[in-house]
Amino acid sequence: MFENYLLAPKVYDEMFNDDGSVREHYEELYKTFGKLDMKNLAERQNRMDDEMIKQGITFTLYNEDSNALERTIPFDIIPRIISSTDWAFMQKGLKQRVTALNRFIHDIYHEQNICKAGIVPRKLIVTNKYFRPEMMNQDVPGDVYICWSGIDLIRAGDGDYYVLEDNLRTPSGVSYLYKNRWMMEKLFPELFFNYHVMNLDRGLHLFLRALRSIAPNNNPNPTVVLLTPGRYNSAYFEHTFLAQEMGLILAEGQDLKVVDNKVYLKTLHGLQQVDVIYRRIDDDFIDPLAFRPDSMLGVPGLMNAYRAGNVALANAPGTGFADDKAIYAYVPEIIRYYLNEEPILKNVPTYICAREEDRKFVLDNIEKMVVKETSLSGGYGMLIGPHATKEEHDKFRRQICERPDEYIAQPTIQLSAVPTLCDGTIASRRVDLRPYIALAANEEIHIVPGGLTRVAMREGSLVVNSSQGGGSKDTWVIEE
Amino acid sequence: MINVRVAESIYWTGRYTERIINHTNLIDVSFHSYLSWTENTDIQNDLWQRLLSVLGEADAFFDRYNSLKTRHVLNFLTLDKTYGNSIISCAGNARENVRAIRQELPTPLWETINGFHLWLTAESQAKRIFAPDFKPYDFYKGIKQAVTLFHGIAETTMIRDEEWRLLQLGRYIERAENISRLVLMMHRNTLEMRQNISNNRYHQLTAALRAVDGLESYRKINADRVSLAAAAAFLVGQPLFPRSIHYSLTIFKRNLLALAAPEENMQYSPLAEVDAMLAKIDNFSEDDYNLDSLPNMVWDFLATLNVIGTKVYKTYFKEVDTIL
Repeated sequence: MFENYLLAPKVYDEMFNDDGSVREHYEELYKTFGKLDMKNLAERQNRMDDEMIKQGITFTLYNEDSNALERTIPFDIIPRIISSTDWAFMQKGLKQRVTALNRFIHDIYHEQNICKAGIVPRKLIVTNKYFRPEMMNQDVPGDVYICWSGIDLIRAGDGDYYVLEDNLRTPSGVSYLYKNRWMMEKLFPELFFNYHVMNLDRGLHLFLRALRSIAPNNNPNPTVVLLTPGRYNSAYFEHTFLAQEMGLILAEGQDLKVVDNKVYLKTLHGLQQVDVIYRRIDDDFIDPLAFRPDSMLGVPGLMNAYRAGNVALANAPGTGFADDKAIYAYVPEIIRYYLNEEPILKNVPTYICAREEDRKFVLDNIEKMVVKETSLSGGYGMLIGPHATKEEHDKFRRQICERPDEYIAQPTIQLSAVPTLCDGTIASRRVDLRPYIALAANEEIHIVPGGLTRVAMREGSLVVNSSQGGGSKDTWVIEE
Repeated sequence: MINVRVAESIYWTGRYTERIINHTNLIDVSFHSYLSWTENTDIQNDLWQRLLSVLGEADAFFDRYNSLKTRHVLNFLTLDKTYGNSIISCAGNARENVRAIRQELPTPLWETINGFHLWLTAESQAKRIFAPDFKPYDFYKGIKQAVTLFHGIAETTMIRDEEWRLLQLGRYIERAENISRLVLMMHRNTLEMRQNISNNRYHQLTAALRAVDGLESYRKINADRVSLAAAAAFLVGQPLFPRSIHYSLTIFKRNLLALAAPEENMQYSPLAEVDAMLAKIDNFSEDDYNLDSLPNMVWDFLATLNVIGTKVYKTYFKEVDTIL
């Protein structure tokens, strides 16, 4: 099974040591898979793919001809396993990071002490398009801005974990984490006897608790809705999944109505007041009266109800400036400033093209770097220097010179690799990890064990985004 | 507490799934009658023509096809995505509705309708109806079974709350409407066959009854008496037969009464229309179902059902201002 498996040079392999021996926490898996033949494995894989289509576990891809395609995210059946020590370390680091970022957002929308202290330039924040002046001096329920976040982690060649990106607006993907587990349990029940894998069930339960904890006026029995853009949204499957799993009411903008600064759900019996909205709609679209007037997805008057303190929004509007790629570079400082602690998780060294020195370095070394446009996500607007052509290098050099404020660059970090089933063989493919973090009132934090492992399905590729053909794997955290 | 958009989607899911059964039934009638008595293309053409006109879709058909070839008509009614009431379109709509509200319904329901739609899409892409080995009997049986499975799962998994009632409202108003069209079709086929030997007329009637899987039930009640009036009375007024208009309206009414609406909308309730229509049917004797009066009776039903549909909309799906 693994006889022909090649370790990628200078890459940390999650399953094998550099000398080719199996890492301790992968041993059982190695044995179990060793007993299977390739054909059998491929059959199980195909059966799962069919099952996913039938269950409609899909996301929608909109291509240039505006033909919507319902696609499944390729699911790979070889899990990614995280040892309990690694997980304990990550958990600590994630709690620290999310707590600091939440305080940072609170500070920015109130006193802005961190700017006065000269640690983060104020200009960087107020010119950010995700900064919402409407949120200034607005108290939010429980002081929770980022009730649900996803922090992307990668593992460099030395095996150290790095934060690649913070997702503090409406991170998606958690439904896949659950469906992946469910499929693995069906496919390889025997593996779960030999491993003590941390159970995922409580994860969403605790997220629900976090959502309920921010209900205005400490309402003990709040009505919580999930606000979705609707069935044409690419993540619609996830919205239905979360609504079903957490018992939320799934509402579109047209289902809600604001009367006297209160939000109501239009029900068969009349209007029922809503206390908490977990919204999967971007800031720009949530309220046509406050933000984009052409939005058909939002609820007119929602921001007024929010400012009046009659409804909680998760996440709060205006959190986006804090996960911007330019702010990212300051997060270690942000952690030190608010928590008086050294950051646990490392940051990838980041060059901010707006700074002259940094820019010069980036322009000189572009073929070795990853260049990102600060306000774009999903692998769009990105240059991976070592994999790009000379024309692409020049194109990005020009763009950086024209609009330096909009670019950052990082050295190319090798993502770690996990054996992955590709075209009938097992090959090394790169992965990242997105753990999901629920933040409740009183800074109480819960993290869904593990996270979503995304995998780049092409050899050597570092792009794991599902919109760019990336797949996913079940992720196990071994219990002590 | 169910939101209005979800309520409407469930209601339409009931309608679309029932419409699929109906189209399958109507195709069945035509197929059975045609297989049982003729090789004559004129007569075949007439049959398809009547089917299309009963559905009110003759124009839509001739916009897309130039002759009444059997496979053209079948493809139009079944796998033509450009025609909004084809079986594949109805299945697509039902699937979209269920997809939009899948969190409100038991998971197996979604999987059934999604699987069914995927199957139809594959058949459509394979141009199945034009394939030389196309087996209409098996194919339509498959369709009926898929929809029946959907309702069977609903029956055994859904709690009997508002969602369930709305599904039934949609399903049974659609059924009442569809059976009306079937009676109309049976009437026309019989009328056209007047000049022919009585044997054909017998086939016409039994084909219609068989299409709704009602021939056996019909025999239990009417034994060997097969006439247009008796068959129409059975399809319209037999309270024990689950595909009669009477039965459909009775179930519809039961669910209507159990389904709360905002008080300000109660003025629109279609209850009076339903009661009046039921009373009218109760009052008919078999003589009333004669060849001359039947069409008017049925057109009258269709008009009333249309009013009932509009009123359902106003009662349940119209926006209100009552704060609970």
